Amino acid sequence: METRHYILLLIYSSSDQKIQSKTKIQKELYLFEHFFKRKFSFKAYYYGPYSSVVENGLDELIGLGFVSVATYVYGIDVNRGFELKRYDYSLTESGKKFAEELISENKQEYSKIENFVQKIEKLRNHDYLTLSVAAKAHFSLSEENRPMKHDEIMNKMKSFGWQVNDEDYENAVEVLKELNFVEEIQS
Amino acid sequence: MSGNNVDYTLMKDIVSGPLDADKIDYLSRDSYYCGVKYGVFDFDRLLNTFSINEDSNDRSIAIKEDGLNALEQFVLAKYYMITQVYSHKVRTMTDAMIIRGIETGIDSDELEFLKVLYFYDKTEKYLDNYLNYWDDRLNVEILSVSKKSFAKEIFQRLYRRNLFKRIFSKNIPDIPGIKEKIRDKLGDINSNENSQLKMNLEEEISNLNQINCEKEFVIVNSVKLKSIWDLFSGQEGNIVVDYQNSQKKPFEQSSTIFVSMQHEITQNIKFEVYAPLKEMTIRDKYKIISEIEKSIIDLLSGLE
Repeated sequence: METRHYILLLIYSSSDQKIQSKTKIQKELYLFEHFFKRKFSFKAYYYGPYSSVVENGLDELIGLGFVSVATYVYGIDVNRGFELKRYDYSLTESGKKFAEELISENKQEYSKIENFVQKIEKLRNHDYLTLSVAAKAHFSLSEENRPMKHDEIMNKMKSFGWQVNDEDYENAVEVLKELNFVEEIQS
Repeated sequence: MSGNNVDYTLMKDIVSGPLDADKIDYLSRDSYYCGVKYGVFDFDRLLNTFSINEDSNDRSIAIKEDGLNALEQFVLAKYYMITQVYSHKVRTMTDAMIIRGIETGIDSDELEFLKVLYFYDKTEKYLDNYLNYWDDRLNVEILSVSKKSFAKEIFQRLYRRNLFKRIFSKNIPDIPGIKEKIRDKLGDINSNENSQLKMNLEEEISNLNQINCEKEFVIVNSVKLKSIWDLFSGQEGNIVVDYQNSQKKPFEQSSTIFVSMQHEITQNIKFEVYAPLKEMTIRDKYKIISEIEKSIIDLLSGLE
């Protein structure tokens, strides 16, 4: 399956067949990559791990008419007079039809994706901010490829230009533990 | 680049990044030589407002608050050059003809020098030979082939600017009656997985009454064009803007133009077909092209 097919099935198996915000799609695919050892070429960017391969896959789905984008305005930035927006990605009717065809041909792969999405949605915190911090913490840990202490991870994230506060970090660590991505080692 | 205390990120940003030296140079250069104004931006202002973003162990190129407008101008210039020049239909078609010329030269005409040039055998001899080729030499060698060949005919057309015509071009979701799976394949028609479908389509289109040419002269292609937001997010969008009050924010949150931009405008993926058409009046051309369009849609909607 191509990257766009993974994204399509990820949206298909999410609740309401919708994923709120592009950042969440990026972060879910980042965690998915480590869950299944499928590589999407993530790199460190300003907002956390980012993959242009995923970005292109999403663009292709939009360009092919399988995914539609809706704007959700959730406030006004009074200082600058702009609307704060979020972009929600959902499947079109033909996107759903194509996803079903893909599933019938890739049952095993889809059950892994479904299982992954269920795990994500069962998390106590699976909003995009928590997933984003979890991805940043995991990326920092993977870069060093060794056990790291709280302060070391915070410093590593800082070195990528990612500002994370202690509370968000703790939530993110809980998420990574629930996904069995990290474990605590007593020193 | 070697040694200790080297600013790898900073150096990489200069060589390859959203604001690298090559990009800054080629937008102005291409714009000038193409005789268009799309690629114009305030080079001096941009350069004067370059700054360095420093964190605990890395340094990268950033832009001062005063350079925001120059950077906006740069992003727009890049977008216009992509839409108006780099993705222009004649350029897209010419690229496809060059690729087809080389492909047929290897696969159908079996030109020995092309085979040697395009099959890397990991030897130094290969590299020596490769380094002795450049655009002009390739052109001349293909045009000098003594036997009648597809490659020679395509390159002669390029040389005389007797280009193929774009006989079909539609946004893929707008092609009526095609199955989802086919839509997915058409968007990715140049991939290896879809090469058989591509060949079959080219053969069937070459047999249409209005075209009736050899299948090697029909090229099906998919062309992707991103929205401006998608072109710059993940690239210039990540450039850090250095504010006078020491605040730092990525460009895509700092630029008033881009913050206010409606970026749900979707990207297009077009399915296109190029083939030779005889000289005819404009009226006849429109008639023939609309007949061809109908035939191609019938063909695509019948695909399983």
